[in-house]
Parts: sequence; structure tokens; C-alpha cells
Amino acid sequence: MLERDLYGERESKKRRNEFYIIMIISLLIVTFTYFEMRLPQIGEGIPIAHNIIVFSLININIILLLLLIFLVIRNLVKLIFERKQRILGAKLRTKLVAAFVSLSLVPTLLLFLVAVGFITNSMEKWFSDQVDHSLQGSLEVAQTYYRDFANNAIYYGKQISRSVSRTYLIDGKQSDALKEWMEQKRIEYNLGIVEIFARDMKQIARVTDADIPDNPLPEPSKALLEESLKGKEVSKTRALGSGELITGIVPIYAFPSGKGAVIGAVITNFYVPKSLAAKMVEISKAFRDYKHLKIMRKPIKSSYLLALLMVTLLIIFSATWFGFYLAKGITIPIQQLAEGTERIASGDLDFHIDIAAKDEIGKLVSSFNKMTDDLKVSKDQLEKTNIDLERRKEYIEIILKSIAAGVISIDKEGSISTLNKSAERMLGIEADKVLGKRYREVLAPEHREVAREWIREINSTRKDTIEKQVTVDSKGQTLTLLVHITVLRGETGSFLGIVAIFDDLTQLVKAQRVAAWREVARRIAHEIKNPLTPIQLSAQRLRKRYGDKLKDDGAVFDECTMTIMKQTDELKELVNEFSNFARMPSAKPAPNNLSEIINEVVLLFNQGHKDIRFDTISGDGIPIMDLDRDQIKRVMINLFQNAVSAIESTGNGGEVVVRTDYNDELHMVTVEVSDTGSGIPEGDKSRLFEPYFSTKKSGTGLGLAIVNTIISDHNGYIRVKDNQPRGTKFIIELPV
Amino acid sequence: MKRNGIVAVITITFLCSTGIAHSKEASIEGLTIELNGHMEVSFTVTNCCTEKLEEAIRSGVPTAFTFRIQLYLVRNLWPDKKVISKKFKHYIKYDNITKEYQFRFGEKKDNISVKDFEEAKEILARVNGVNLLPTHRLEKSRTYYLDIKAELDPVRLPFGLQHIFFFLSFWDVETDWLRYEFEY
Repeated sequence: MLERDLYGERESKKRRNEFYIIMIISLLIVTFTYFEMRLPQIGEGIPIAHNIIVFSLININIILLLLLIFLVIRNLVKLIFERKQRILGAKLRTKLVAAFVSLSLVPTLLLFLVAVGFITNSMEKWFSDQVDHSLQGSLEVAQTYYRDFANNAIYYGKQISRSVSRTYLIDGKQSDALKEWMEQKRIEYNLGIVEIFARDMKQIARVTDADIPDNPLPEPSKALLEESLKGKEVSKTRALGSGELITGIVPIYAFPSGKGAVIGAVITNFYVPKSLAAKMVEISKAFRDYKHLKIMRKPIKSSYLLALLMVTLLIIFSATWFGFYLAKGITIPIQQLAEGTERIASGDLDFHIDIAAKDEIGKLVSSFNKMTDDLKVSKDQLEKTNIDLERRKEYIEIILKSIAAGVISIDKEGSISTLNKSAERMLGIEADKVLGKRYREVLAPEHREVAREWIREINSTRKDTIEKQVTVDSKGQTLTLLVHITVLRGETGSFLGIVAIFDDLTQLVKAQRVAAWREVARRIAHEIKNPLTPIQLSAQRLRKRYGDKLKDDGAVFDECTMTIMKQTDELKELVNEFSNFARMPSAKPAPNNLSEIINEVVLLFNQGHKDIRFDTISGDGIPIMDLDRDQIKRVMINLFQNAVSAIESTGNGGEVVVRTDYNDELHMVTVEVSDTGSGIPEGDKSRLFEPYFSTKKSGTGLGLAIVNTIISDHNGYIRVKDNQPRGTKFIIELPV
Repeated sequence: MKRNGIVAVITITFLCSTGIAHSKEASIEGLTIELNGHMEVSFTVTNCCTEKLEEAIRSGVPTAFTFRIQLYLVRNLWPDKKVISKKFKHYIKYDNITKEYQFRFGEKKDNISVKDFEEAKEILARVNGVNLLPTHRLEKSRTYYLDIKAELDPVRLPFGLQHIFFFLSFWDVETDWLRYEFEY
């Protein structure tokens, strides 16, 4: 698979995991941010747990953001390296990522800047002088309210104190009257509670407004009471249930003028109801919070900007990553397609892109894979067909190589396309040198003309097959060949070339010729031999009867009869030769020593021809072999006679050398008879072993024919070559 | 002298080395240990009120000092034993309507309010006679040491903003641990 090849299974898995991680991170960031925004409002009751949760959420959020940044930067670095390494698709990916980043960066930054300006302006407005003055004003109103009530409490306290001093109502004897009087004063001064304490800090009397909620009244601060008993006038705000009490504590002197000893203290309380107290608290809290915010204006602003920056970064990095993701989705299939095309071009049809997508890219990948599969199937079929064809070709070549007939095919261009071993052997040419060449270039001029004639005949007769018998000289041999020439045509009848099949008929023709000659010889012998004897007898009788009677012409008569008788003898001898040739018995091989036979013949000829030197060179290990002793002796005699005749014809002496050798591998004995005679013309060599062919005037032309027949009967082979530096060499090969 | 009648007053005016070296940094001074039936500790935190803190207090921002006092028994070849540990706070809040600085103390039940800011600062920074433990729990002729530290609670952002901007520190007032070793 391509993807596995390119990135490996691990890489693919890593990319999948990265995708999941980023998706999860983004979702978590959104989720945690949502909870962070929600939790502060619900977490007031559980501050510690709340803090821990929020702290954890924020930390996780920051870690996730850092992780996202890390992943994006990692991808960026990877992209840079891919560009440097010129990896296919890196440029396209860079462009896509750059486009995405640009598209996200511009609006995000714009929004960020606008938001920064907006926040700055808003915060300036929040802490404007107007707001400051309004809040300050509200607070001052509240302060004034409390201050006035406190002053009033002290003032009324003083009034009550003077009246008490004047009337001695705190002597303890007129408590009911005191209370009644105090109630009158409370109503008169619109006080909530009025209390009078004795010098010993014991409460003497207290009157309370019935509208004040039934709450236990707070005891006045001991310290404040002590201070008052020391002559100080103090005021204090105290809580009473949901409302408040604005308390004034004034000493009671012994004399109404405010002189003398302090004999007690009067506490006057204005009741601030819940609704009003809550409003005051609200004013106070608003001012406090405002001041608080104002103090922390800069950090808060920085915090908002920081949060905004984080969100901006999140958007930018998310967009960048998304750009990477989309770019990968587009470029990786394209990259794989491109690399796949290269791989297919280089012959790798096992290539498969493993990308599952439902879009156009997916269709493209699917088509590509289908194309690859089809190509692979076609290639496999083609390879199979090629293998079959190769096998057939090989088979046909084996057949062509094995058959005895020579086969040559020529294509329609005239070039030789096939030449089997038999054809090579028959025609004495090498396939490597002629294959692919035009037949006109290869053939000798005389053969070329013959070939043309045949082609003309094919064309004129419109036959697809013709058959011809020809005689061809090859490597010093004359071969008789039967040639079948067939025109090759395709299924549509178009001309594809010519095939020529050669059958070597040389041996057959030879055998036929020998048989014919034997028959002729037998008939000649029969027909001539019969009248010869009466002719010879008649000549003898004429000589005997009239030899003495013819005196004048006696010499002529004698000469003529002698000639008749002599010629008749020669004719008889000739007829006997013919008869011998015709009636030559079949060979009867028996184990014999070839060297001995040769030595016998050499000895015979050595004695009769003193001017000729006969040498024998015998190789090692000539085995005892099956030979017809008489026939082989005849062969040697015939060859020696020819050699002697050839040497004598030169008028000089010479030598005849017989060399025997044994080839252990081929199990073949070779006998070479070479002479230094006149030699044989090249043109006669081909017919040398035919009957009645002789280069000598006195020869019957049967000697070498008999030699050839005997050697053939011994399954051997004889050929003739020129001896170096002169003369002739007969080479006999006899299987052991 | 009877053991219970022993009124041993160890008064040490202890200047923290850091306090001398860096006069503007918060430090603990005037450490007094009274061993009169009970071990009572008094000290003052100096240089604790920065301008920002003063502004915040005057604006009505609730503020608190946290004090940590730990008493250890020195042991040889063994980790020192923590005899007692105490942690308490001094809360201050300015009531901007009544213009009073209201205090709440972690070590005692008295809640007081004052109108003078300088007095309020002194009250905030002063720890008076914190009862650590009865002296009978102390072993005679043994060496002890006190570790004292004071730190200002961070000002919280309003409207729960401190949860979002937890990393913001408006101020950071904290003394080093003051160690005082003594033999009982």
C-alpha cells in the first residue's frame, strides 16, 4: 500500500491520533471555558471546592492551549522540513496553510484590536469622573444621613439628659413617671429606643417604639458606656435584626447646666428599618466595589486583554491546524496519486492508495486504484501469454533444432528470421551471423539467382508451396537437398514470409546411384563377359591356324591377334572389376587389429616401390575393433595405389604417411593417409567417391567408390582434404 | 521559688535580619514571650502596609493578615517535635458610611472599631498575648524554638474575577519565617 510505503503504518496511526487529540482538546477547551464562566456564580456557597474546580479548569485549559500550540508548531516545523527536502505536496500544503492562516489571521487580529479598543474605552468609561462623582455623592448622602441621625441622637440625648438632671427622675423612686416621660420624649424626638443607665451602668429605664421588630436589643458597648460615664458624648451604629440602630450616648450630670458629677447616661437610638439599611449597605457596597475595581483597573484590564489574547491565539492556532488538516486531506491523496503514477510508470502495479474518502478525491483515488488493478490484471495476463508464447517458441525451437530437416524462414521484409541447426549444418552457415540479415546479402550470387527463380515461380504459378531438388556444395561436400518452399500467410491471407525446408538426400542419392551403378556393372559384366571368351578363343584359334600360313602379312596378323587377345584380357579384367563391384559382399566385421592390417599393406607396398617412403605413425591405445579384415585391407590398398599413382605422376619420389589415432571420448578411430603426390583439383573432390569417376587415364573409377562403400558399411566416414604442403589426405573415421 | 510562682518574662526585641537588611520588606519585630502559667506571645509586623494596601483598605476592601506560630521542641538525633501550631487572622474592613475601621480577630472574640487609620494599622499589625499553651506542657531545661510568619491575604477581585485571573497578584506581603530559640 502506498500510504504504508510512504509514511508507514505508524505514521498513519500517529496522524489519526493527532486528529483525535486536537478534536478532543478543542472540545475540552470550549467545555472548560463554559464551566469557568458559569461556576463563579454558583460557587459562592462552596468557595474552597469551587476554587479548586476553577483552578483545575483554568490550568487544564492553559495546558490544552499549550498542547494545541505545540501541535501546530510541530506541524509547521514538519512542513518547513518537508519543503526543504522537496517532498511532493509540501508546496501545495504550504500554500493552503498560508491561505488559511491569512484568512483567519486578518479578521481575528482585526477583531482583537477592535476588542482591545472597546475594552479600553469601556473601562475608561466605567471609571469616569461622572461615575465616580455619582457614587461619591450617594455615599455622602448615606454618610450624611447617618451622621445627622447620630448628631440628632446625641442632641436629643443631651436634651433628655438635661431634663433628667433638672427633674431628678433617676433617683429610682419615680420609675413609672420616668418611663412615661421618656415615652413622651421618644415620641417628641421620633426616637426608636430611649434608655437611661445609672452610674453603676445598670439600666434604669427603657422605652421602645412598638414598630421596631421584636428583636433582642443589643447591649450597649461597655467601653462606650464607660466613656460616656466619663463625660464623653459618643455615637455608634449597631445592628438590630435586619435593621440598624444609630445610637447616641450622652452623660447625665448632676446639674442641668452640665456641671457636677456624672450620675448616669442616656442612650438614644434612631431605628433604621431594614429597607433603608439595605439600601445604605448597597450604596456602601457599590462604592466599595467601585473603588476596589478602580484600584485593580490595570490588572483587570490586563486580564481581559490576556483572556482576549488567549482566545485570539486559540482561534489562530485552531485555524492554522485546521488549515493543516484540510491541506493534508487534499495534498496527501494528490501526493500519493503522483507518487503512485511514478511507481506504476516504473512497473510497480501492486501499488494501492489506501485512503477512504467520500468526496471527489475519494472517487479519484478509487478510479486510480481500479486503473492500477486493471493494469495489473492485464499485465498478468500478458505475462502469462508471453510465458506461453515463450514456451511454445522454445518448444518449436527444440523441434527445429532436433529435426534432421533444415528450416529457414524469411520474413516479409526478406530478412532471415529462423535458421535451425540442421540448416546450419547443411548449408555450412552460422545462425548468429545471418539471422536478421536479408537473404540476398547472405546467399552467394549463384544461389541468389536460384532463389530468385523460385520466388518468380511462386509468383507466377500462384502456388503457396513448391518443391525442388538442388545440389549444393558445402564445406567441400556436395549435398543433394530436397527443398520445400512454402509461403507463410496470416489468417487474413496477408503475406508474412517464406519458410524453406531442406531434406538432405545426399546419402539416399548416393545409395541409389551406387545401386544403379552396381546394376549397370552387373549387366555390363554379364553382357560383355559372355562374348569375350569366344572372341579370345577365336583370336587364339586364328593365330594358331593361320599364323604360319601368312608369310607376308604374318606380322600384321600376329600383331592384330595379339592385340585382340590382349585387349580381350584387359576387357576381361575390367569386366571382373565390374563384376566384383556389382557383387561386392556385405561386410563381416570381426575383432581385428587395425594397425596390423595397415602394417601388412605398408610392407607390401614398401617392397614394390623403393623410391617411395611409407611411414606409419600409430597413436596410443588403438583398440581391437570389429572390422572386415579383407575389406579394410582392400580400402588401404586402394588408397595406397591412388597415393603411389599420384606420387609417380609427379616423376619424383615422395612419401606416404599413415597416421592412426583414437579419440577416447568419441570412441572413434581416425586413419589419415596422406601423400605428397599431385593432389586432387577442388572441383573433383565432390565426385571423387562416385563410381566410374577417375582422374587417372587407366583407372576404372571404382577404387574410391569401393573404399567409400566399405567404410560406409563399417558405419564410418571418409573425406578428402589437401595435404600440406602438397598432395592429398584421406581421412577415415571409424566408430569403435 | 515555687515553680508555679515563677514569673519568667523573656522579653526579646528581635530584629529580623531581613528586616535590617531590607527595611522596606515586611518583618516581625518586638517579639515578646511571656511564661506566666501560660506561654503568651506578642509581636508586631512592620512595613506591612504598602501604599496599595492602604488605598485598598480605605476603599473598603476587606483585608486580612494571617499569622502562623509554631513551637518546636529541639531533639537530638531525631526530628524536632512540633509542640503546637497556631494559625489565626486579623480582619480589617472599612465602613465607608460610618467611616470606621472594623476589626475581627481570630485569636480573641473582641471586635473593635476605630476611626483613626494609623491606629487601625497598628491594630492590624500587632499581635498581643496570644496564648499558645500552658507552661506545664513545656519540659524543663529543654530547648525550644518558635517559628513565626505573617502574610497578607491576597486581595480578591470583585465579581468572582479572581477565579478567572487567579494568577494576578495585587500585592505580595509576606514575612520570612522568624525563628527564636530559647531554653525553658
